[in-house]
Parts: sequence; C-alpha cells; structure tokens
Amino acid sequence: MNSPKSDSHPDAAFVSALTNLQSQLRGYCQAALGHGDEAAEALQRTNITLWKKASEWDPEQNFSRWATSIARFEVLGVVRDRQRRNQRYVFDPDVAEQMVDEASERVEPTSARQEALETCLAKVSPKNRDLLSSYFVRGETFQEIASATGRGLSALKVAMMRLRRSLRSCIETQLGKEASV
Amino acid sequence: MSELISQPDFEELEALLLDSVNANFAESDRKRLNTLLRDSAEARAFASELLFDDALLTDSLSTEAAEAVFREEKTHKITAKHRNNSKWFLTAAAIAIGLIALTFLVTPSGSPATTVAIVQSTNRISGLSHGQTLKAGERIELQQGRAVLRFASGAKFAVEAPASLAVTGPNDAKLDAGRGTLRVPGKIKGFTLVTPSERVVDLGTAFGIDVTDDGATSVAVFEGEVELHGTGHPHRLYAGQSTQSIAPESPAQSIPHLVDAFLNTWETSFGVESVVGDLRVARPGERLAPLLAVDSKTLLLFPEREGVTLPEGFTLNSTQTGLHERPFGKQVEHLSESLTVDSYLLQYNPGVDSSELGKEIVFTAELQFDRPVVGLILGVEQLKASDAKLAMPGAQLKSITRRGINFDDQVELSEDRRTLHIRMSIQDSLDQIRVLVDANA
Repeated sequence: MNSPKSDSHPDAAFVSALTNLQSQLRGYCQAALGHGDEAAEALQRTNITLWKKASEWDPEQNFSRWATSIARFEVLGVVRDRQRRNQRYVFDPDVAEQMVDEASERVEPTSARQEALETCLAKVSPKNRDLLSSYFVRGETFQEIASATGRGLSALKVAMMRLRRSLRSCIETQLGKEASV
Repeated sequence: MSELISQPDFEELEALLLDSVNANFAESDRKRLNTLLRDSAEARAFASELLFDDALLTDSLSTEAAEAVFREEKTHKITAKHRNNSKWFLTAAAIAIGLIALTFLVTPSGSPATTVAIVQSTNRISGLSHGQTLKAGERIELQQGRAVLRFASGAKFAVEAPASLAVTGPNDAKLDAGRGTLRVPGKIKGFTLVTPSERVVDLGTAFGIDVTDDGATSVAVFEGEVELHGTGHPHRLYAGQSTQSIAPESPAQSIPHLVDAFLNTWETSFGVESVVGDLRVARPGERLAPLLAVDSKTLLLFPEREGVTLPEGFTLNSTQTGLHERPFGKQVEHLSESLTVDSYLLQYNPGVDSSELGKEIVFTAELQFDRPVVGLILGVEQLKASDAKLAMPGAQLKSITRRGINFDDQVELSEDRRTLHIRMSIQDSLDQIRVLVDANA
C-alpha cells in the first residue's frame, strides 16, 4: 500500500485554532459578501491560504486577527476575480469593501452569542425549525421550499423574516442587551 | 456621506438579502440592494449583524442535524431492518442496547460460549476467513498479513502480523504482542484493550497501539481520548499525544507522537484493503477536516460516517458496476430499499486555483475495499444533498463550490464490487466524489 506524505502537516495547535475559528470566519465572509456562493468561496480560499501559511503563524500571535487579515484579502479577491471573469456576484466591489470593513468590527468571540442562539432555537417550533434548516442548512431557495411545502412564496418570506426577528430579539434578551433594531 | 434609512427600508434590505441567494436574483434588485448598503452606514451595520447571525444559525442547525443523524443511526442499528439479520447481529444489537443504556465502562465479561466479534476482513492471512465469528476467549496468532475484527459493541480493531491476541468480550480484547489501530465509531465507549504492561480504555476514539515481544506498550491517540489504567491511577491521553509503558507498575512516559507506523492498520480499519497509484488515505487529523487537507500530488480518500442507514428512495448517481463518466444528464437512482453503508469521500484539493495550475493533470488509481461498493455519488447536487447524512460532523463541505467529477473523468467499479479504478483529469481546483460501501457485508 503506498502512503506518500502530503505537502505539509501543520501542528495540532494550528489545526485546533483554525477549527475553532471556523464559525467566526464563516460569519466574517458571509457578513462581507452575503448568503451566496461568494462567501463560501471566500471561506474556502481563506482556509487554503491559512493552511499554506501555517508555518508563518507564531502561536504567541493572536490567531483570530492574523486569520481575519488573510480572510479580508481573500474576500476582496473573490469579488475582484468574479468581476474579472464575468461571474455572478451580489455586492459590487466598492460595497464589498465597505461590508468587509463592517465585518472586521464584528470579529469577536462568538461563543456567548452562539450559546444564546442555541437557547433561543430550542424554543422554535418544529415547523419553523424545518423552515430555517431548509434555507440555512440544505440551501434551498424560497421557491424550492414553497413548492415542497405547498406554502405561498410571500407567506414563507414573511414567516422567515418574523422568525429571524424573534430570534434576534431573543438573543439580545439572552445576552442581557437591548435589541439593536 | 451616510444617511439614516427608515424602518421599512430595513425590511426591504432583509428581504433583498434573503432573495439574493437565488440564481435568478433580478439585476434591478441587486442594484437596489447595493444602493441601500452603499448609502447608509446603518444599513451596512444592520446587514452585517444579520449575516453574521445567519452564519451562527447555519452552524447551530448543521450541528443539530448531524447529531440527529447520529441518534437516527443509533436507533436504526438497534431496531431497523438490516440486510444482515443474522443471530450474531441481533446479539450485537442487544449488547449495544445494554451499553448505551448503562453507559459505563465495560470490563472483560464475555462468557466462553458467546460470540463476541466477527472477522470483517483478511488480507494475506491464512487460518481466518471473512465473516468468521469469534467466541469470548478465542485466540488469534497472525504470522502474516492484516485482519480487521469487528466487535459486537461496534469497535473495530485492525491488527497486523506478527501479532498475538485474544478476544475476551464484546467490548474488550487482550493484545500480547503486535501492532494495530482500534476505532470505536459512534458513541459507544469503554472498549478495553489489555496488554502485558497497560490497560487502555477507550473514551470515544481512534488510537494506535504497539506491543513489543517484551510487553512494552506504545499508545498514540489519533482522535478523541483514552484512559490508561496501567498503574491503577487512570491517566487521560488526548488526540495528538503518545505514551509508552514499560511495565505494569511504572507510569506511562510521554513519547513523540509518530503515526506513520500505524498508517497501514489505520487504513485497514476503515476497510481499505489496498491503494495503488495516485491516491492515499487521509492521515489521522486530516480525516476530520477534508477542506483543510491540501495535497497537490495525490487524490485523498476520507473515510466518513460508518453504519449510516440510508432510507428507501435515497438519491445517488449509480448502484451499478462498470464504467461511470459524464455526461450523467439527469441520471440518478433511488434506493429500492434501505441500506446501511460506510461512506468515503474521494477528493483532489491542490490548494491552488485552476488558473494557477496552468495545465491539466491526470491522476490514476486503483482502490480496493474489503466489502462491496454499493453506491456512487458523482454529481454536485447529489453530493450536497448527501452531506447531512454522510459527511463527518463539522466537515463544512457546504462551503466548497466545485464538486463532482468533470468530463474526461472515469470511475469504474469491478464486477465483484470490491475494486474501483479511478482516472481523474483535474481541471478545477477541487474535485470530489463519494463512495458507499455495504457496512454489514
């Protein structure tokens, strides 16, 4: 059986730091580029670049800050490349740049917010939870969800917006803050 | 300069963001969305918070879905119809129920007459045969080759010659000499492996173990954690750590974490009998994060979930032997009955964009399993749809944009269903297919 070595094997501390930061990186890319494929592509490119640069990371250095600076470069690279190749993109390059600046303000430990979200999710009905999963996990469009469930398109969108609003409100309550919107 | 936007605009902004994921999102709507964001700092702050929360929501719901699949798998293992309804499997399921219900560490307990394990695979071995049952207390002496023992608890122990061991119960064994990899898929814990100098208790894990002729025991934890009971004072060992125990009374000493010596049994433990050509099995550590495993020189095989019951009607691209290549058109198949499988993700990920590659690269490989391949998932839509059931939790494959196989790629399944011949012409930066093997064969 042949088992050639792979190109590189970053140490366990790096892998652990990168794994733990995945939620934040996903959030950063999505906040900068929206829900579509661009954010997924930016996250993919960010992970690959981080992996390739693993040897440059000093464990004394703030991993989140270092990784986010690389993610910023990749986010803007995705927009630039898509524009150059006439591929689909949602945010114009100047807007993406504004959004990535905004996203940089939000990169902070997410565990408290994630815990609050999970507490709030536990209160969501199975039907509404399935709606959330259809859109956010299975990546179905509203048209697909409407055709699968027999619900009207407008009603679905309204239901989704209400649901997210109540989740946001619940999260803020859990965190002991006032709702921001 | 930024302007404040009114409450109704926030609603419009939210609706546009939700709609923007559609491939047919209207250009006029896209322009409106950009205008709203460009002109207002409040709109950008609102959108940013919304999108950040959505990412958390995706993570939470994905984790929840993965946990639900695990629960479902466990239920299926205990109650659902399986292809293999042998007395052995029913015994195994009954034991599994006991282990789940009690969730304590099982000590050697099998009665001499009880069948406690089965030989899942044999590679260049005489005296053991595929499917052979093993009773408590039965000894195995390996002079050559490798074997995988599947215990009634679900634990799998791949061991290579020379080795001397005994199966002592449904969740325990004694290794007097030899090298192997032990894995306990799912949530059952407590597998106990006793050696002349150590007693290793699994706490949900995969680990390598090497016992020399004088009884010295080296343990390397690949995933999860184990507990060492050699000195009577339990000592935890975590993924990435290795120890060596010389004698029962002396405490285990830390040693460098070297996994290469265990790679053969690591691969065998997943049912991979041989790999030839431009392909390798993901190493410990790589397996849990396929997206992070970058290798421009070879295809990688990632063992994914094991013992997953796919329901009747589940969609894949083929269950047939022979050559598979694009175009598939709309070719999909639906399972005519439920099927329990082990899943494998085959991936090429050079870590560079296609434009950097500059030229087409062709990889060829032959991959042989110890059980029949019963399904192939080759199309991007079917890959995405099957992630929730088959991908490792946390693998985050959803963020990969290019999957499936290209024109010129070929995957051929042999008539006996054990061997895949693969030819992948790499044109994109990342290719993937999924291979399903009958878990109960």
